[in-house]
Amino acid sequence: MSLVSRGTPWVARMSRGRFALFAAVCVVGALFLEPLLEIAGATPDFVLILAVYGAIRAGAMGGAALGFVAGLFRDTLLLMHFGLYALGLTVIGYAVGKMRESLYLDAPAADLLLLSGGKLLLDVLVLAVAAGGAWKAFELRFFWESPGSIVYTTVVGAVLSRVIGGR
Amino acid sequence: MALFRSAYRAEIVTGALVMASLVLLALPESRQDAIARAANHVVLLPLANARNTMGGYAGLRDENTRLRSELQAARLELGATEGLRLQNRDLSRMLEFREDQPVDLIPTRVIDRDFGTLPTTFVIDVGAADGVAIDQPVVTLEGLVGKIVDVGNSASEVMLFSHPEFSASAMLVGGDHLEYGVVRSTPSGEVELFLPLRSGSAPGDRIVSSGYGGTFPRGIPIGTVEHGREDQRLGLQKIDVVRPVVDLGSVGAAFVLRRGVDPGESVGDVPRLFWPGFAYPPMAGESFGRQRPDTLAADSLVADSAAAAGR
Repeated sequence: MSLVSRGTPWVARMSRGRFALFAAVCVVGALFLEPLLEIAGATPDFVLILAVYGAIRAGAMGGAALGFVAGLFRDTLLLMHFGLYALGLTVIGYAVGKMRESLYLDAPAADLLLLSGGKLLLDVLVLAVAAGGAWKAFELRFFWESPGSIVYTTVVGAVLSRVIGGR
Repeated sequence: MALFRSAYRAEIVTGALVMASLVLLALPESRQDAIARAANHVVLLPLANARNTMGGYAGLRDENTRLRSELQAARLELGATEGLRLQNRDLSRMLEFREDQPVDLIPTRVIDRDFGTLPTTFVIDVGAADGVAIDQPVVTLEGLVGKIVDVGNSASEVMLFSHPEFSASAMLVGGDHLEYGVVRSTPSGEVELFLPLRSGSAPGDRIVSSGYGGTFPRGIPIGTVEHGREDQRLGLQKIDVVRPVVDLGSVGAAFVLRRGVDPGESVGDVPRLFWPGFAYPPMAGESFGRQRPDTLAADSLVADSAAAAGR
């Protein structure tokens, strides 16, 4: 497969069973692995990986719906600002799905770019709300934690898509 | 209209979901909390229990061997202390002391924790069936961890001292004085001690629970004063930044403190649990390592001899 080729994304070509396995690994990762995989305050965001790849597979509407459900799942884990992740991941799911419907290029680099962009957007939203107006706290967490988490999430997303998706 | 609906179906669905998220976000915090807890109990707690069980089987043999040897040691120690306990009871009766409420330690393991960068809650594997109730303190051998805020039948949720809503009445044990204040946590997880403005405190002073407020018995170590901080709001309080004695990131096992409620018992305190050999938390700089009574006696003999030689 060429590095940049227009066509049906690989996630959409993935069989249902394989995508279900991918989703299950993401859920288990979010539940059990994230705290164990922490490196210098950065953790991979398995829920975002599921929402972004789900949106690439399902398009704008499916992406928004999957993002909403995945966000509620994350909100349930955190017990703080219930609905915040649902909001963020709904918007990200819609945006990623819309991009794949309109101008998506079936390229590994494009998937990872969408993943890192989604993580950046989510971090801005979540950290801004969590800071509650304390911008110093926002700056501190955003500049120290986000870059690492974005890179980490992108790397884990790439590994998962390679191993499970057979990309 | 139908054409419009089909053309913008994704946007309509997304808009509806965004509205639903905003409605959830706009709910009062207590309602949000209730929904999240309900979902947590139904979906996540069984998964966490399953993980705990599976993980537990792996090290079961080693744990069994270790527990057997610990049980043996505990039996020996119990035999030695039983005589002292009876003697203490008789002496207390002679002096007409009211008995302290017995403090039961319910051992527990952390089976789940929140997934934020800063831990603010734990789930532990004991619940109402084990005698756990809301507001009971949770401690480790080092000191305070938090308090129970939600109890299920076989699991409970602990609000950690790093939680923004946590507060505890505290006592600062300075070099030569005591101060009473309140310990709270900032949104960034820093623990602060609020004292009256005239209070004196210095880095290294110990901070323990004061026993006021009814939740935490007196004497549970909380931390030490790291440095002072200016009160940027009204300047009416003295604020000390606290270095906690318990590292929440590494807590895997803890104890729930359960106090008895029999009539005729005093409120009770727990200094002896954390400060062996002391009836009161020691002042800053004072040694509080475990010293055997015979060592103490030997030390005093040496001191007496030195004093006699000096005379």
